[in-house]
Amino acid sequence: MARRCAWLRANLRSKDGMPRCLVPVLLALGTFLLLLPTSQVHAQVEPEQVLEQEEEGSDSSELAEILADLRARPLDINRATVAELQQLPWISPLLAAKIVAFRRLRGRIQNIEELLEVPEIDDALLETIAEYLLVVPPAPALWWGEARLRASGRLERSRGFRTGAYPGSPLKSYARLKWGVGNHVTGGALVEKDAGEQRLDDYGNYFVSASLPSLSTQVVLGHYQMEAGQGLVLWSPYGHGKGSEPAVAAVRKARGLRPYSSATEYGGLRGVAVETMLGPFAVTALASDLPLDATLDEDGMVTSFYESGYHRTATEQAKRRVVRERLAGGRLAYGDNPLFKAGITWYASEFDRAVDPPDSLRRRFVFRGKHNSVAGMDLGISFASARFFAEGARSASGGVAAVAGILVEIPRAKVVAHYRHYDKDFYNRHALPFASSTGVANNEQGFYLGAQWRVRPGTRVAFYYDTSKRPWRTYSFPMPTGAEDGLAQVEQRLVRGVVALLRLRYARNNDLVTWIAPPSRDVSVVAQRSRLAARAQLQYDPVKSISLRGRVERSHVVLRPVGSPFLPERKSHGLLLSQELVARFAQRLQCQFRVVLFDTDDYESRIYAYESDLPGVLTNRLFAGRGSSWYLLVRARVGRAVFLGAKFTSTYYDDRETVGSGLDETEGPLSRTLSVQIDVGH
Amino acid sequence: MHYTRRFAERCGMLLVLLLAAERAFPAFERLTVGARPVGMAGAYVGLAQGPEALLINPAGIATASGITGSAFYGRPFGLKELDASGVSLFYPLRYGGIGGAVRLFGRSPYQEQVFSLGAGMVVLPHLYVGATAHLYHLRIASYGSASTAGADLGVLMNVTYNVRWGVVVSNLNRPRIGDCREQLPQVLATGVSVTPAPPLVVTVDVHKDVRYPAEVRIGAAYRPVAPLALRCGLQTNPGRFAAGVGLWAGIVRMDYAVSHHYDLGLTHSVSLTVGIE
Repeated sequence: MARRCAWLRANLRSKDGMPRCLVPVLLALGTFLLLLPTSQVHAQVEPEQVLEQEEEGSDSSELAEILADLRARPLDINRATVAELQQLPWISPLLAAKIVAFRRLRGRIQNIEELLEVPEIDDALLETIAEYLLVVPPAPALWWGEARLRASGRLERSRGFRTGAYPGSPLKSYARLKWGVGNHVTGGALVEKDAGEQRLDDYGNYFVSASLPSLSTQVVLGHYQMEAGQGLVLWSPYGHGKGSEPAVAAVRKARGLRPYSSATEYGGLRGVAVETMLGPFAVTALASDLPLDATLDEDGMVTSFYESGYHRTATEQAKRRVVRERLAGGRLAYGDNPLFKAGITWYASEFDRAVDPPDSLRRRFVFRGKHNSVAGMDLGISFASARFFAEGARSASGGVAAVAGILVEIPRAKVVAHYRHYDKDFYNRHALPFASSTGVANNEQGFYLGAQWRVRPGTRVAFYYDTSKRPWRTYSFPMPTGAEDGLAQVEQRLVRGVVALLRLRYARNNDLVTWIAPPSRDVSVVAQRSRLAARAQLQYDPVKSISLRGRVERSHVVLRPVGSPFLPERKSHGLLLSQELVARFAQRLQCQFRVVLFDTDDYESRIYAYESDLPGVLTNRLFAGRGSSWYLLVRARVGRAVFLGAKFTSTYYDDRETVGSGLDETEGPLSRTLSVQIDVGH
Repeated sequence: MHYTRRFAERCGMLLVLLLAAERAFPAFERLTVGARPVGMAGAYVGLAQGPEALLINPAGIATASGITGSAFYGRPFGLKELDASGVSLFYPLRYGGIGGAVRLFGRSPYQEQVFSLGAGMVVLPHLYVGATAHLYHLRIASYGSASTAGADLGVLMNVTYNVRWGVVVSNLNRPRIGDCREQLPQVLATGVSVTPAPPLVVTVDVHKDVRYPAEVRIGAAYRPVAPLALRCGLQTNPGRFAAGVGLWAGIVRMDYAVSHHYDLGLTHSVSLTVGIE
């Protein structure tokens, strides 16, 4: 108890004895919870086929948060704009424009089923999007509010905590508050702490947003994000990855100016932003002053930006907010007509410390100096069933980036073709265009082709193929290289309530791999990695409240040394079996249980699996080695305004005596995690 | 208990044979019990009928239509040291059923005993869930004995009138036994049974023990006439095939099965079942 009190005091007071901003935040949160009006809180499972992104390292919860917010406050179908409608992952920019055009023609949509008259919308799609749309929105409340508190942690203590290298508590905490007055003013605040960090407000953001309908103007103060064009100039930290929705993966769907309330620490801007309509033109002005994490050298210069968000050890804390980026920019867009949009976006930024990484071949084209600016132009034209989109941008270094593509959407089918070209000296840390590696917008040329086809009711086919090359060496690979990957998937409803899915995924790239060469010495060789993953899945929903899903996934990896004829190729295999049961009881309680058995030869043949989690959390688990795992997720609604959630995960590794590595290593083969969350209000 | 010595002192023939099968021999390995499942090469998770369901997929307990008892005996690979025997009993209830079983494996100096209690419930007209609690007791002459408990969970679904899907997780709680905390097998198995025509049933299972490669099992049962059933099946990892026959005489059923392991030879099993199914 005394230790807890001491820890609490340490978190409530800074070194000079002054209370930290945590105190007012917690006080405001407590007051808010007491004053909340009652309303219904939803507790639904997010659609896995959309949330699942199997790209390595993709674990952004942004999409989960977007969908959770949309479910809590559905769009008014009679007022929603193209930008708002295309927030839904299943709706392309072209379809969003067609829905708006249909609404204008109809005058007013009285029943959600009327959307079936849009040729591209069938029963299955309507059933999917219906819960995010409203025909008759509820009368605007005088004010609304919602709060979310989440705490999670591993039950085993890692080496970092045992040795004192992590001085903070092992708990990961998250608190978010959102409120609104009428339909025009919203606000929010978020504080977050990772396990091992000392401050409950290690990361925080806040915003106030006001829309003035009489002036057609929106103002955001605090943290905000700007999404424009295809992500070459300004974008949020989230963008679709390559997955089972291939026809929307390559098309960036800009949401424009929005408050930023994500826990992703390296995204967003902070300052003031104004967007106003001047006739058919939308004008946006941005100003931002944001502290960033970075590694400094002895001279105080930035050698690299640090984007993991962890501030646990003394080394990590030394990187916290040591450089500021001041940014000013804007956007001028013509877009009153959803069938034609064009815009110019630009920004100029200045760092208060010079960025000067060590000079080497691998860093030949990275950003150096204090100043950067990026300007770009984007275009979107829809005609008949096709939409052409393009964007080009240039950074201060002279590097150019460009994307161009066409999306064809006819009833039951979508096809997208996308070309990208990013110069090796194009530098923009605010870009997130479609690329082979998430967030990397330079030194790449590539072509992507994706298609989805509803062959008939109950049968869906999806396919994509992506090929890319890197003309200059990357940070980790010492020569120009190329890569390709593809997916083919068939989803078939066998009988009522039973859906089978078969998926093949292939990827090929070159990498530096450690090889044991005779006589027993490790050498680093260039190897071509070919990876094939096959998945078979059967889902059975005997009634709406119960769902069972079984999955078998197999991975096969071949590493072939390039230019080393005396080294044999290496093969490895992986297998994952899982079974899941979801049960919902009277709209108040939902339980989800999954058992996984995994067996992979090594890390190369690892298998990723999306895992349901608490609202607003996206978990993409990596399974490597041999063992079993299970989790139990419970979500319950208490009364009309309180929603509780808890998740317990237990993983046992049959082939290890420790789990993790370095300071995160725990003793024993067991890894257990407990998370709890409370949502209040809506 | 020092298990390295313990295993070294176990039957030498047993070790040689099992190493030939490319598998170590853990305590309480999930052997298929009952001549009916053995005759279908253990591909029984998606069918789970009869008292054997208690030890294969506990959700099958919920499908019991009457009080049923069964006794089984098997001699794996013709070795009396590996004798497997046991009894199981079903008792139907309004919303499912309960059951119990006692299973023995081996003889002195090494013997495993498993006492099981299970319950199955009809969640929906076509959806059954079940759970079994096991008490594992291991006795080794001159070394003493040890016990632990495990739990199985099973689900059985009549997807259509002729397709049934079953899933079972055995030893979900990852039990360990003895002073050296030896891990008992944990298996996830899923299987589908298809009845293309009433006299014919075809089953396909995938079994994955955490420590070993996945096994695929395929089985079939055919009843040309009401009192007679013919069965066959094959299994991978280790490769084996099986065949069996069942005879009905009123409320009594007699089953016999033989399975062939490529390296270890034949296993004979018999079962006697009394009850109303």
